[in-house]
Amino acid sequence: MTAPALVAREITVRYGGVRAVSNVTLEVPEGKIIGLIGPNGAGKTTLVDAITGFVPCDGRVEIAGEDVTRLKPHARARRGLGRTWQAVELFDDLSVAENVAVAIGTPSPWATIKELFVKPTLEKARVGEALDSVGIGHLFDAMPTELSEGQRKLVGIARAFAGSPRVVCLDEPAAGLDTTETHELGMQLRGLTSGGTSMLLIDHDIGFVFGACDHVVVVEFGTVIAEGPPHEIYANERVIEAYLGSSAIPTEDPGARR
Amino acid sequence: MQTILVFALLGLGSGAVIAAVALGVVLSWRGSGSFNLAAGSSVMVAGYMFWAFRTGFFHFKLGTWPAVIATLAFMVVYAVLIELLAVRPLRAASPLAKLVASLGVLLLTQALVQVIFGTSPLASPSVLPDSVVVVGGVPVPVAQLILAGGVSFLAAVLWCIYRFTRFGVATRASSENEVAAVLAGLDPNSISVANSILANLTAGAVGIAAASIVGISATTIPLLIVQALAAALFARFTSFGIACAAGMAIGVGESLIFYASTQSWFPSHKGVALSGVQQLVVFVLIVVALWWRGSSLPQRGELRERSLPRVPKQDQLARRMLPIVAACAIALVLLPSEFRQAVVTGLVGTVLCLSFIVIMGYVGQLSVVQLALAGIAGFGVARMSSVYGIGFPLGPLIAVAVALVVGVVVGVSALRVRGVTLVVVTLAAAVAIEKFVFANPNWGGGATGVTVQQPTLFGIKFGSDAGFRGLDGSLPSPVFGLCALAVTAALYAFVANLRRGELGRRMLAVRSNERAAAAAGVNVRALKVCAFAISSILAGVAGVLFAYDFGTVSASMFDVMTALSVIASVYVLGVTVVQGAVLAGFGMVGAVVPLILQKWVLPRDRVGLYVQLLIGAGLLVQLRFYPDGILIASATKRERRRAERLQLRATSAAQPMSEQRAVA
Ligand SMILES: Nc1ncnc2c1ncn2[C@@H]1O[C@H](COP(=O)(O)OP(=O)(O)O)[C@@H](O)[C@H]1O
Ligand SMILES: [Mg+2]
Repeated sequence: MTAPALVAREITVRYGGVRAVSNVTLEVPEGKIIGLIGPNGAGKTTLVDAITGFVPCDGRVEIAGEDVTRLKPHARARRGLGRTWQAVELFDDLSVAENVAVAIGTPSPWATIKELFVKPTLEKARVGEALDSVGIGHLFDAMPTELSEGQRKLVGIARAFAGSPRVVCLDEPAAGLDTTETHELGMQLRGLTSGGTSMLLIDHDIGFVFGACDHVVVVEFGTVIAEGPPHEIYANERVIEAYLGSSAIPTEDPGARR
Repeated sequence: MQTILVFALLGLGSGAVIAAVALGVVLSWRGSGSFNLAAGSSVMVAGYMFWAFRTGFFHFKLGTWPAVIATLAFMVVYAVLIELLAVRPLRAASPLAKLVASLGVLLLTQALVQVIFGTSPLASPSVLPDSVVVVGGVPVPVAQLILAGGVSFLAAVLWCIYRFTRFGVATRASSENEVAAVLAGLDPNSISVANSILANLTAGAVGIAAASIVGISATTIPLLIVQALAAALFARFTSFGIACAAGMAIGVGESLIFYASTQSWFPSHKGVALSGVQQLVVFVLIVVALWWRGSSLPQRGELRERSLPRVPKQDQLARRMLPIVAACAIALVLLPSEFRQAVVTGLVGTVLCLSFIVIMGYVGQLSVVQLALAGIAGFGVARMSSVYGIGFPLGPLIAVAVALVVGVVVGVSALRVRGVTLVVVTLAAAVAIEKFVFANPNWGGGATGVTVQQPTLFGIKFGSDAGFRGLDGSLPSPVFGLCALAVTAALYAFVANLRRGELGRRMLAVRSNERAAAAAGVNVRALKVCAFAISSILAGVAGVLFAYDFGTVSASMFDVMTALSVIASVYVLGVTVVQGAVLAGFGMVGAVVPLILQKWVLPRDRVGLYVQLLIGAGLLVQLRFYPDGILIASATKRERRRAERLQLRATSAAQPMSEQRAVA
């Protein structure tokens, strides 16, 4: 058996005295989509920040069996860990194609030096492929500032998947998309797993998460309160009490900070 | 012991001025979130105005008190004017744009004051008593004490205003979170203008009082900003008390270092004490302050942020370059010597400006130290040829390598600081290098400068003394010009190509969003160091060419005001496109544009001033109306018009008339 694409073991993150995430362990097997749900402020974004190296944490993060806990974000990214943000963070100075191209190349110093003296070319095929996989091939030459919020989200997702990563953490990718767009995105994500990419999918849209995921983890106040296949979670009383039942089903995160 | 005390007390005078400038910096930051490089200029303006009122420069003469009141009234007008021209239009701009705007004000006022009042320092009628009282055997200069006491009192008043008045609370609220303040019904514009008036009144009072102590000079007073920034950093741009105390301490410290330099134990060379120790200490202080008080300024909750100038793609590079290169080559051969020289200087200036394009335009890091790096290479080449006999090609290679090493060291030590804080570090570094290295007779050029031996290879001269002397048969030789042209064209193509490739793409990614760049696998730190390295090499090459071009190097060629002017002119024209570097290079003093101006338009000795005036004013206009830079603004307009034409043609070809009307 091969090692899971991503393992996060006993992750704890403190902001000052507050524990935003305490002792969370989760595993993303190869080619699977794992859902992560929980009410606002449960610590989902913080967990992704910890896994991708943007906040310091206790615990251990492994990518395909390799311990990356001590590595910086860019080094984790090069080992195949991609992510998106809750509020899209694109490179506004670069065109859509260039945005994606940044994530594709991991150039050797030599290739970079050579490129400075000859006319460089964009890897059009791979960029186009990445854009097509989320259905925005027609935006190739557009600038991020000309796009709608939904399109910007998709560019962010395309960029996260462009370097053929092992695993991608998606922080509320469907927020801001309408019902049909969300449905389409679910299909596209399933399609992307066929290439062997795994995902950690955070969203508020329960239908979307349950429809797309193989396995769901529920967090509240920074701890895991339940996990299992979607139909089990759907029937879990604690989850219903903590999350589903409390305030109907929230569809968007009003406290989106990033 | 007594002498030491006297020097310490004497230092209180300039310390008080530094403290007042530091208070101005803090007020600007808290009031409008702008990082005010022109805080020292306000003191200068007040000093000149008071002098003018007192001595009848405007054809009427006022007594001391009427002149004080008139000057303070003028400072209020000045504050409002600056607010309207340079602060309010940029409310929503990025901190970097605000900083550049204050640079515009600095250049503009400094040039304007010199155009109006002349360039030599003036002796102001003193306001404070110049008597000395003897306390316990120590002679104490009264004026210095009054000045220091007065500035401390002003700091206390400011503290009280911020602490106890509604205005103070409003400012604090709005500097912590502007959005919330606006929602709470506070008007950021009035808060900003009120703070600006406070800052200028403080500067005005000190400018009047200190004029007789520090002298009225347009070259020294504005540059007190460097020490003042160090003091403000210790105060984290918030505390009036700390800013005031730190400012005074720096003044006293500088005075004590001056005293030490008169002692026999102080390191000296041929009887001349080591120069520039003060500036070096200030630089070290700034580094300490950053390390000790945290590397970033307090965050302000801003309304919104406009990003840096756009970076258009560089298309059809060769086709656009060739005509210009050919024109330069022909000009170098045909033009008379004076113009030939100006073209060469323009080409070298272009290389220097390219180094700013890389670091400022592509990576968004405003570094002032680039001209100093050029100076290091220039002095390196000169001293190696004249002192150690190392000529071409080894000399220039070593010189550029040294500039590279220094640049990378600065880059690495500035990794933790970004944006406006980087400006403080590099500004202080540039001043320290200028005074401690260039002006230092031990290893720099001292007062006279160093001459450079022109390059030869295998006995063939190709420097400015080469055999072929153009059509008029005089120096400099076009041969050197052609060599400089080849180097410049190559580096121009290189920097333009950088924008199109992987590395440039990564630089822009870092400039746009460091977090997202890291998540996309970009090593942000390595990339910044790499950009510093490239930029340092460009600056170093420019320095070597400058040395050969002028035949001698001196500290004044690489001083910090020149650096600031160059930065400003690149920014005005377009800091993100290589064409901006060419125009800025040819606009540098000594290059083609100023030469034409001085030949036919302007009085000969004032050209530098008018060019600076133009740059300062241009900066304010550009930031207001063409935030991307003038070149890009015109390019965008052209592009848009072409796009519209294409679309029109496409629609009219594709659609029958009736449909087109329906669409319209
Ligand atoms: N940078 C931060 N500093 C301090 N507290 C934070 C920070 N980021 C998040 N938190 C806190 O951590 C908790 C978890 O936040 P977050 O991970 O954003 O939750 P979610 O994404 O599940 O909505 C919240 O209580 C939030 O207030
Ligand atoms: Mg979140």
